[in-house]
Amino acid sequence: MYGTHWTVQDISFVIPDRARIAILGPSGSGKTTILRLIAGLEVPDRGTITFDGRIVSDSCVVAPPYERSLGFVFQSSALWPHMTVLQNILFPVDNLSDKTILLQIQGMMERMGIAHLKDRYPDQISGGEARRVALARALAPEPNTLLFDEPLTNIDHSLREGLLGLISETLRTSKSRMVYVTHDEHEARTLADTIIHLENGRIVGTETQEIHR
Amino acid sequence: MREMNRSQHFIRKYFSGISLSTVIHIAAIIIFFWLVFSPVIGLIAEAIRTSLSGSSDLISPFNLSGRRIGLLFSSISLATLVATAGILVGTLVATFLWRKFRSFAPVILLLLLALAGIPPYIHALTWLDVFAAIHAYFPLFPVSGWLPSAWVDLMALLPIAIFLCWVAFASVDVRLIEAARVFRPDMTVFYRIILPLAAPALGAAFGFLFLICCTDYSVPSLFGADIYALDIFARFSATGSATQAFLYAVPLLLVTIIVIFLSRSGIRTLAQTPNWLSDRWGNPPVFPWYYRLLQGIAAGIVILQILVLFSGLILSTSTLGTFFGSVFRSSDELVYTLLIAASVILVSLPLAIAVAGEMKKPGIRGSFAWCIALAPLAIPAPLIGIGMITFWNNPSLAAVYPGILMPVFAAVARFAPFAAIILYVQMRFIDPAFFEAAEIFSRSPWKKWSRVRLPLLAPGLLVSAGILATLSLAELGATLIVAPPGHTTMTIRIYNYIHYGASGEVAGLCLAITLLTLAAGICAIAALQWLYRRSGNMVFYCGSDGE
Repeated sequence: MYGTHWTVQDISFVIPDRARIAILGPSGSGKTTILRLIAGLEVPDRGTITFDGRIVSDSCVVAPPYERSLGFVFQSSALWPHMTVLQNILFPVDNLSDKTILLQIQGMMERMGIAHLKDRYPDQISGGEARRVALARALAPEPNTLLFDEPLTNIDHSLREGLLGLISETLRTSKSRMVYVTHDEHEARTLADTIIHLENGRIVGTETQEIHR
Repeated sequence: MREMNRSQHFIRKYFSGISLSTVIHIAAIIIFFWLVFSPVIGLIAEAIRTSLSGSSDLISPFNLSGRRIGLLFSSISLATLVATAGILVGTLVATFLWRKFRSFAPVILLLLLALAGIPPYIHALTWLDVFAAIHAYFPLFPVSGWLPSAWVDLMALLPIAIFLCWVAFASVDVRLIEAARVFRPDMTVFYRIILPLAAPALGAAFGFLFLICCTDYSVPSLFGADIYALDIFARFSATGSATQAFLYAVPLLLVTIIVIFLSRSGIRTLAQTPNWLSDRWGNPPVFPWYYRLLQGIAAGIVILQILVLFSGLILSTSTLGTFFGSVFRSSDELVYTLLIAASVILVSLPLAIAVAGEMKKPGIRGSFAWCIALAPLAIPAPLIGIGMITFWNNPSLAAVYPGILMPVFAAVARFAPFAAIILYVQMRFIDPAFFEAAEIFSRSPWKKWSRVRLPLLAPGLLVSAGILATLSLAELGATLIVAPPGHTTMTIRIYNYIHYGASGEVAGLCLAITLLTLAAGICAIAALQWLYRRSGNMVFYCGSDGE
């Protein structure tokens, strides 16, 4: 709630395993708020959020974000400037002594074309590279749910198409379910099998589509 | 004829674009520089003069005797201890406010800030009674020396320490914190993300507390702890030689200049932190029990400090009659002090506006302005007083020496840089397009200033005025040296009284100064809240200014 105005209300939807959901709406429609509520970065005034049968947020319980098995790609990339690219990607990983996990991450970085950047700091890489690193960081802990908050905003068209292809390709091999927030219909149609239309904090329509997996 | 053409060409080339406002701007910067650095200029000139005449030795600062090394070590140790403890307690309380009072945190923070202007010797007075009471039950408990002095210095600096720590943490981009919270527990996020990113600003806060503690002798002198800044004053009192006092102060000056140099980028970070009053935490952080326990202890220390301060003053004053009697008997000093504070505001603000404008400039001009704003913070208060006497005690400047001007200039030299930094912060968040639009739509410089610049700068000016008033009311180190015969400020009177022991008279005067300081602080807070209320639709601009 913002002042006397509900940011989002009467929102109810289920995200099945491996589902790809896009929340599509104009600026100020409340789509980022929904993502932040799912992530646990905001606490709802009322209502319940359940992850795999476990209540993570209601009037009595608010599970902290890190207990929700999430990957989050922020609009601004939000790479920590005092850490190298590799340190950024490894930050969410619990078991750094497990060689298999490290090898998997190395393989993922190579597939994304960022392995050569591992010792650089965020201010030494380009905007497009930063988005790739942010995606790798979100995938590194192998989360159950991947959240995207308009990750392709404010980048030029050709770079955006390349990154859209990379996200699509990454999701194809990932077991995570996805919630992708955007105001761009093309991005929603490329990535999601369910599109939720949002206006003024309310769901005004839902459509499903076949996407190539 | 050819010569005339050449001079006309020169004037057209270099001066034709200079407007009246530019001339006033440059004059204000020169006057700021002259007033703020006149003590140092006076001292250096005197040192060179006496050296040339053979009556002083410029190498003497580097001949450190065992006593001087001991004093320097004591001063640095005391300041390091107080600044470290201040940052630790400040960090714990700032994070406690995150967790417990998220929406009220700014109000609590601002109320604490109002306490920051209360002179340290008043804290010393109230804690002296507490120490004496504890000593009566536990004779081993020290009532004088380093530990009580460090404790009181810490208590006096605690509000500013908490405020600086809060701003330091607010300087960390909240998106970076949220990105980490998705993956890790809040304590890990705190240690691995927030603390490293806030480190430069926390370092600057440490440097700021260190400088205040290292250059102020009022508390250590009351607890019989000898420090270097006090010895500068003692040396000047004993010899009457400004050069000897200056050369004696050089090692301490080197330390403070190094601290300023190391803190400069962090000070910029602190000054550039946008909207630190807003609550940006959607979901409050969860800390482990041991950290919550430490936070509780730190919050308890703050509450204890507030209780000791007010209960001590009120109990010692005992009756309203004592309070009003002591204020009435010091009415001359009160009027003199208020006149000084008002004059400091009037002199400092116009100069600070000009310097703040320069601080915003990119490149060497901005760097130079930052230097002249930060360098005075490195100069111990007694040295400013001694330098003022050296510079202004001159037959050609005889009109300045008596009356009110010397204490005013001393306070301007010490505190005008603070006003410049505050106004820089304010200017940084004003969209330059407002000023550019005024340039396009109005020809009259007066109209541009009165209708556009002043209203936009008004909150910053009010905050600066509150802070200048607060600091001027409490000024002791320089005023003690420059106050002309027949004139005494409230602070000097109280300081002299405290040396004879606490009494109802002293407590009454301290209570009066505390109330005045709080009034000035609350005015500044009201202005600050006004600034932030307006920020949403008017003054906020978070764009680059070319730095």
